[in-house]
Amino acid sequence: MPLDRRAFLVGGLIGASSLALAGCAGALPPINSASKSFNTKATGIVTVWCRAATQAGLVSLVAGFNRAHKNLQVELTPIPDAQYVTKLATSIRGGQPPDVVDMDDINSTLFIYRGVFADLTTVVKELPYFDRLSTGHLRLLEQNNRFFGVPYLADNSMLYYNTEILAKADVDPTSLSTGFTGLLDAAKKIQKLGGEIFAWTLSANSPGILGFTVQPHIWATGNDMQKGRIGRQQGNIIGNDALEQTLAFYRQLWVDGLTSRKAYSDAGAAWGADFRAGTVGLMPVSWGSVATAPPAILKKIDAVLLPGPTGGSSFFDGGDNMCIPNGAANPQGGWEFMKYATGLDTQKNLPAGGYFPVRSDVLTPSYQRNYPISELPLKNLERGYAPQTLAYNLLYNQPSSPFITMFREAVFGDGVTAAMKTAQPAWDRILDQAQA
Amino acid sequence: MTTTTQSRVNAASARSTSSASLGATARTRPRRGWKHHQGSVEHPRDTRLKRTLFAIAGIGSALIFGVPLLVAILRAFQPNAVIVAAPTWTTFWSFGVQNFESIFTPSQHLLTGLVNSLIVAITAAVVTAIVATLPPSLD
Amino acid sequence: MSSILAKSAGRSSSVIIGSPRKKRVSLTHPPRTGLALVTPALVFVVVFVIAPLIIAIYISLTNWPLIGSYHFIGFENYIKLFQDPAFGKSIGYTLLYTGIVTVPIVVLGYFLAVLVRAKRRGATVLRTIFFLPYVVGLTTLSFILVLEAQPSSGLVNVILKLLNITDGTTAWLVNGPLATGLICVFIVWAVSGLTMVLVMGAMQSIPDEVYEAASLEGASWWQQERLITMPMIKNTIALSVIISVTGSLLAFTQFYILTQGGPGNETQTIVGYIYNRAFVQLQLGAATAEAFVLIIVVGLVTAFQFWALREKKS
Repeated sequence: MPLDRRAFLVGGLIGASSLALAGCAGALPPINSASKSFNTKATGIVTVWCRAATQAGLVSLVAGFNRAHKNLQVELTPIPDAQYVTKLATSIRGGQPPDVVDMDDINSTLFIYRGVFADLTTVVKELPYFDRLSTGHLRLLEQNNRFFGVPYLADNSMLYYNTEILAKADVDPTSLSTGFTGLLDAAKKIQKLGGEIFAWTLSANSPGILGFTVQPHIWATGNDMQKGRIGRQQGNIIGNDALEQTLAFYRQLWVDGLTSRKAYSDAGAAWGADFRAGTVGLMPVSWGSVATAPPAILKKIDAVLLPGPTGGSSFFDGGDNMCIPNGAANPQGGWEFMKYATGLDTQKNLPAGGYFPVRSDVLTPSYQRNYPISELPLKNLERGYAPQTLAYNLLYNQPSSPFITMFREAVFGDGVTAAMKTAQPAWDRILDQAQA
Repeated sequence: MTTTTQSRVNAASARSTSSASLGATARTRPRRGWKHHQGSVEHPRDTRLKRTLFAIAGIGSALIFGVPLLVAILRAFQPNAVIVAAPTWTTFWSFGVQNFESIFTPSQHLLTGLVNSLIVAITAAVVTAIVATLPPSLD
Repeated sequence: MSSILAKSAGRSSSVIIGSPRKKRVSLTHPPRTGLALVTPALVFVVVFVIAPLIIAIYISLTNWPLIGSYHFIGFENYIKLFQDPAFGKSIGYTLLYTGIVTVPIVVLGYFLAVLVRAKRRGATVLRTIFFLPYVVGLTTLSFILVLEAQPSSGLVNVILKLLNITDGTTAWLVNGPLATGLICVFIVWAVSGLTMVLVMGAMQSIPDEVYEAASLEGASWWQQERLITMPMIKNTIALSVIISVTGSLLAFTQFYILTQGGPGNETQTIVGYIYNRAFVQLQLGAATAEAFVLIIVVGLVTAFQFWALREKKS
């Protein structure tokens, strides 16, 4: 039969369209821990994805797990942080998600909201240490009173200080928790010491660092920069007094020369280097960036929780949550691994790797002797907080985010009021787009 | 002057295309050396000035294009602390191989990436060559 | 292939009509063999170009998020993107950037070609050096520039300080106009090598007799350049311009590495904005719609260039 041009092209187009339609896959079957199939014995291989940033800890965790379990082995795949969300979303779309995802807790909210993680409410609530787990992490894992994962490790921001420098400047560490006036007084006294010493370290060109260290001042008053229920939020910028006072405080630090001029363009590539060298008095930072200091300096380091404008305290509940995607091949094995990861033996060794535990019952006398610096957050778990919003990445973690734009405008530019006025519509626009 | 030159040019190009196809290699060419050539013509006005200009422009451009690349290579040998600090004459020349050691550790997956890139590049080139030349090659 | 299809069409029409028209079927090139040989290429095109294009058109009409379920929303994406100030700003910035770098790239490429086309000693070495940045690639060079543009520690500032032009603490990549200026200089430096190679190839194909005749006429070097070389390589220069403009409109790598869109949105290009929409905001539907708009913009600009640079029949 002669194949004329028209028939040929039509055939090609039909072939292309059918390929195209075949590409539109449907959703994966949801997993619920209350179902019978979940509570069967776990065997086989468990595929676990982890962040490259927390990779080191997970490698040893997986090694320990594999030694302790005969029929259940874990295969670990580290994924670079920047690609994590995209790769996970793509693998879920492609129908082949891993069994356990160990991801940045801030990002887990988005996936849970879209309904692609397994409902683990029954088994999570049955955990004996459930009421000792970090409330900040759990809030991010909860929607509509159902829980979709467990916390694994905590990366908290605190105000670290150099005890030697403070003593030399005649600053009482308890004054640091009274509020901004206390902090400014302390900073001015430290700056008077002169030489190479700076009172405060600021990395004003790094969105991640700013979000991590500046926000707790605002949360200490019970306020956040988004208001409303997740999925229907608006920006809470104009009229946010705590935000205004915090921005004014940082502007004061810059204008009075209490922080190095490098703060303007410091993108945090060497975050903590000056504090570890002993040339900075006060620095809001994470344990991970301090733990690598030489032992002589480590002896001189202590910390308080970040205060609000007139008192109170809070800290950023960053870190990792572990969840199971819908459609995972071995959810039972995944849950076994998650239980192991939140076990006491694992959790009490986390500070050696630069992170804090997520359960407060690790606080035994021997633990407190080893890692006294982690006491404050663990004893005050309810003060930890992380924003639950669909647009966290866009609002805070990108170089084009309105948070860093507002911060830089307030501290280096036209001032606090102008910065907040332009930030409110930017917040609303991004939330609208993300919640569409 | 311009128009006559132009018409001569057109005539010359018309002549040259036909002569080129008939085998211009039969013509012997003058010896080349330090003479300036626009194309391969011996230009009588190649003065020392022109040679100096070429030397200056050449060396200047070579520096502009080459020095940044050289610096980049040098930086690969400097330890991280030196790169992020303000450079002084002494610290700039402190070289070590710690950067290279760290990229070849297995956890960095650099060699995996290299192998992947090679596979993709070679396969793409081979498949393109085959598919593109398949129909006409059998005509 | 077209001849094969034409023959088939001729054959089928003759079959339908049934008249005793002479069939022009080649005996040495049967149509079916030709079809079989063409099929692999055709399959590639269908699978990798046409099918994804159809899917993309469909995606741009939905609110396809990277995570979760989607629904069809018609042309809402397109309407919304025309109201999005950030998208318009990125188009404006990309056009501005293209306007700034195109002429310097072509002029510098031409100048470099003039410098190295002669068979002097050292010309080959120079050719290699000039082309080297293009070969190294924008990605690597951008990462190097990140280091060297740092205030106080980067060599850009150190050299400026040595020459007493600035005090050596300018944070180039944190300021919109400064970053744009630095990136434009950087691109002209990195990409002129390609123009140089193209133009040089064209220059060397100009036959020598033409120059001979001109120098016999007494034409000076500059007159030869203006009246012989430039008109005869006009097509190559046009090609370089088109390549350069298309590349600049689609610029992404250097902006992503150096400024990630700059303070706020100040150095965001179109492709950077689409990438942001797709992989940071996780909204593939909107991003695909924007990509189609980009295709139309680039198509229009290229078509305009072809028209403006066409051979004028005089």
